[in-house]
Amino acid sequence: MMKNRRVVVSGLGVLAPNGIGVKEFWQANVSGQSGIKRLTRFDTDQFQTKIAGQIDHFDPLDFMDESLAQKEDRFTQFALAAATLALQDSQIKLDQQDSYRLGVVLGSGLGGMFFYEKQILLMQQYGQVKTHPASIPRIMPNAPASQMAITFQCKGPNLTISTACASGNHAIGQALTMIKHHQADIILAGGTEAPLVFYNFAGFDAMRVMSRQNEDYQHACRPFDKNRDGFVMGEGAAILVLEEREHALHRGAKIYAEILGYGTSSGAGHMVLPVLNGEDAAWAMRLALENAEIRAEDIDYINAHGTSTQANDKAETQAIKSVFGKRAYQVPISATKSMIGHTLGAAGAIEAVVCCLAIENNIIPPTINYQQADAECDLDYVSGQARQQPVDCVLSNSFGFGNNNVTLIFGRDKP
Amino acid sequence: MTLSRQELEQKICVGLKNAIGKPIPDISEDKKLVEDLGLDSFAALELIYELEDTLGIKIPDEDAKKFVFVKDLLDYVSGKMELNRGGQNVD
Repeated sequence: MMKNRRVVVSGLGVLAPNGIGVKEFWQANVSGQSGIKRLTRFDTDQFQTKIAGQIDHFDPLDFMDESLAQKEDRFTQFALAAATLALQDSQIKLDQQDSYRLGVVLGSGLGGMFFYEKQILLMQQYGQVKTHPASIPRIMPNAPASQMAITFQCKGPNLTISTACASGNHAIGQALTMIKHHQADIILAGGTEAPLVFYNFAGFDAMRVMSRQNEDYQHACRPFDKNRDGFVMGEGAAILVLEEREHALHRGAKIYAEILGYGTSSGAGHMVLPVLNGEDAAWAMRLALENAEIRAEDIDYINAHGTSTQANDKAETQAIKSVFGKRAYQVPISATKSMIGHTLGAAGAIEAVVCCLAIENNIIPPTINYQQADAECDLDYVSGQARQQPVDCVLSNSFGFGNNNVTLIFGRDKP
Repeated sequence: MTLSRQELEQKICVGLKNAIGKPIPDISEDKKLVEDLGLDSFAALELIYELEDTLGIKIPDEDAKKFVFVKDLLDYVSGKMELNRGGQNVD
């Protein structure tokens, strides 16, 4: 199916709590460097969780003029910055491209939270008269994708996908499908999220889904560890330049990886809790393997959703065992979130960058903070140190609130 | 607020249905919250929030974890309401 067009990754741009740009981000990941610290953006006195993955060294003026920066919510600034980095990395000459063959597909779970909160507070104090006329275009979840289209003149498909923590992977999967179906030749695909906002944080804190290991924050995010007690919220963005393979070869592009497969499902079970036996997640993985036309045995590395919640990590382990059988105990698995926290709608995209770089470098980054084994999570989580080995084929999972499951498969580019 | 034990039980029934998100035909004191009524961990948070809000009491997480039967919750809430009233008798 869809054999005629292949899709490759020809550029990467990333902003994460442990690094901005591919070089800094990758170096941090392979050396197990955490970007999680005490939350400083607002007063956390009322909250049980007081830690997060903040990007403190982001200056939007490094990527755009002040006149544009001040018009946009932080999550749009992140997307524009990541897209700028990705396009630079790809060395695409935009003025030589047919702008109608250039698209954008982004994932974001929440939208423009900073500006939304600011407007609510102003209205409470002053009434409607103080509502900014540009409120809606700044807050709407499709603001980053639309601003990217305007900035980079992408007149092809423009979509925003909101499936909570699965958004980033879904965006990449949809972009893959659109290129295969001749709707574009190049798509800037990824995710962005700037959720470290008081009222949003309050919502997650009330859910009791975040870690409360506030004093030992460096070790708070501990996917698959027996003593894991919740995820750590992070902010960030990543954009991948997805390009039709012949188009990329024709212009002599550097190719990181090919996107081989995409599988998605719904657990149809609960708005928050994963299906505990992981059968729905297993379905998404099997579907991705099937449309990639590869076997589970061909996977060299699994980049797990690995949030550090009791429920997800157990369910994901079950799902992996169901799909991989005995091989589940041999395939290395690591969780990027152990170092950067959970960037919600951006997570799948940031982890896709990790997958591409793992293939490029034949290195698997570690899961950090894995200190005590859990009988229900007993696979090889590449604890503590990065591992050098051939990495030709990678499977990446993202599972979102609402029981949204999505798996992508990346492979080394081959003729 | 003064509520009889029966009225409190009604409040808990409504809270349970709202938290679980569907009608529950038979709620009685001897029913187990998780095994019989299907209260999952997230619905439990919603139930606690609603009871705190409507009854003006606080139910700490460490106490909430101990409720097994509907009776446990009802006894706890009755006790809290009595404390709030300064130890007056409940009719």
